[in-house]
This record gives sequence, structure tokens and C-alpha cells, in this order.
Amino acid sequence: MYNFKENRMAGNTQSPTSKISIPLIFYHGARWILGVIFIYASYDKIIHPFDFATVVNNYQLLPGELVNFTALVLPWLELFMGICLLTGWLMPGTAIVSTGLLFIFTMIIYYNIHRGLDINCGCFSTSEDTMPANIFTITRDTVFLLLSFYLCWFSFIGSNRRRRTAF
Amino acid sequence: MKNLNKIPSPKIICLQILILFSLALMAGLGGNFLRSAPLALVQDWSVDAQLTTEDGHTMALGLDQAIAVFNKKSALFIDARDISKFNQGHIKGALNLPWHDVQEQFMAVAPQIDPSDLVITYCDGNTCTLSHDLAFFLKEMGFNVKVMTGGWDAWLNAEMPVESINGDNENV
Repeated sequence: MYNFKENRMAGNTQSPTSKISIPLIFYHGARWILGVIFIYASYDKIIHPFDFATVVNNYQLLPGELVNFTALVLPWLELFMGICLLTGWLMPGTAIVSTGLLFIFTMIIYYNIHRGLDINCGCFSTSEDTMPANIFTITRDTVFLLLSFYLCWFSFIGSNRRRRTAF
Repeated sequence: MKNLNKIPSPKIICLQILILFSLALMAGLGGNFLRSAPLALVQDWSVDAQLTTEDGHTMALGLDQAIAVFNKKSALFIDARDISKFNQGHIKGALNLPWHDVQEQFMAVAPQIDPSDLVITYCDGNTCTLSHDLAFFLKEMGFNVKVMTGGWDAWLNAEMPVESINGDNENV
């Protein structure tokens, strides 16, 4: 676990970003990829809130009173997460939220496939013409989750390890 | 470029998360308020409410009513699930019109539907809405449509007649 006290006491002021390393390239790559994905995913849902509310309701997990609220707020959360990931603003808080949300999304899709629900994922489009969530959807979301988890790991452990090994 | 050595304290991280959620909350609710047709914050998402048409009539049909209509042979059942599930098993005498392929397959299925007949759509069960979507589509096409709310699961549990495409699972 990350030791905040030790980090402060180490007194390091040299930026590790002055040296380009593979973990750092992966960090920025993952940040940009997830940023674009979240912005793309939010677009259709923001424009069509009722269709997205239908998708949320089809998952049959939230009480009816929370369906529309979730359908209104969640796409904007995705949009702001995408912007923050692209710009690096509000990191690592955004990485934590992103990892948490992607974990929940993946588990929900897995649960619904497990109980035999034939419903649209609603991940990138609210259109009813899209194919229902399947094993490909879970695999894709797992890859996104791993990227997001890497952002958290690098933010709390990876960058600190690099700093320690620099001395 | 940001100095990645400077990891914010837990307090700052919580503040970042709070800012993110606050922005989403304000934009989501504020944006909805400014829409010409805002989405109601609380809405009735029950099956009956979803199957009620603009003129106030419900398209929902319970299992008992569906069984009665089936026994009288006075309705046509249409399965809204995909063809693989239909082939594995469906209500005896039902047609297949998968909602996901409705645009492509409607013209092939339509001649088999008598416009004077009651059409009953169904899919997997209470949590499936393919039959709802198909019912509204068929209603727009001018048919008299109901939705069997319990779906295929309820029909199986009631041990009503079913059949499969190869006939292996036939139970009359």
C-alpha cells in the first residue's frame, strides 16, 4: 500500500517525467484511450436520455425511482471522466471512479448474461437495433477495466516505485 | 507535463471524486431542465405502464388470459426472440419475428398474419422487453396486438404445448 508519510519524507523533487519510460508511455496511452472511449460512450446517451433510461430499466437492477436519475447523470459523468482522462485533470481521482464504474458495468453485464437476459448493452449506443450484450461485450469491458486499473496502479504505486529506484 | 511524483493526499483524492460527481450532477439535471421536452425525474417503469398506449389501453395480457385464447385458437402467437432460441423451443404454432431483425423479416412474416386476428407477442420472461418493442411496432402496422407478460418462462412453467423446429422437444 502507498505510504504517504514516507513519500513526503523522501523529499524528492525531481520529476520522473523528465525521463520517458515504457510504464509512463503506457500510462499516458491508457489515459488517452479511455478518455476517447468515455467521451464517445457518453455522446448518444446525452442526446437520447429517454432511450438510455429504457436501457437502464431493461437491466432490471435499479428501482424505478432511480432509473431516470441514473440515465440523466451517468452519461455526463462519463463525459467529464473522458475529458479529465484526456487532459490529466483531477487525476488520480478520475482513475479511481473510472475503475469503479467499469468494474460495476462488467459485473452487471456478466450477471445479466448469466441469468439469461436478452438485452442491449447500451454501452455506446441507445439504439435498439444493436446486438444484445454477449461474451464479446464482457471481454471488451474487461480490457477497459484493466487499462483503468493500470492507471490507478501507476498513479499510486508505479510512479512511486520509479522515483525510489531513481536514487 | 504533470509531475506524477506528487500523489495527492486521500483528502484531495476524495475532493477530486466529489468535484467529478458534482459536475455530472449539475450538467445532467441542469441540461435536462433546459431541454424542450425534459425527462421526468421519477417515472412509472412498471410493465403495465410501459404497455399502456397513448389512448389509455393496456396491451398487457396475463398468462391465464393467454392460455384461454390459445385453447380457443383465436389468436396468433409471435415469438420476438432470435431464431436460435425459437428453434430450441417455442409456443406451439407460434411464428418467429425476432425484434433485432424485424426490418428484414417483417415482409416475410406479414402475409401469414390475418389482420382480423389477435396477435400475441412474447419473449423470455418478465425481464425481457423484445415483445414490448415488437408489439408497438406491429400496432403501428395496424394489427390488434397484446403482449404475454410472463413470456416463454411462464408458458413453460404452466406446462402448456410447445414445439421445436426439429420436433424433438414437442410436448402437446
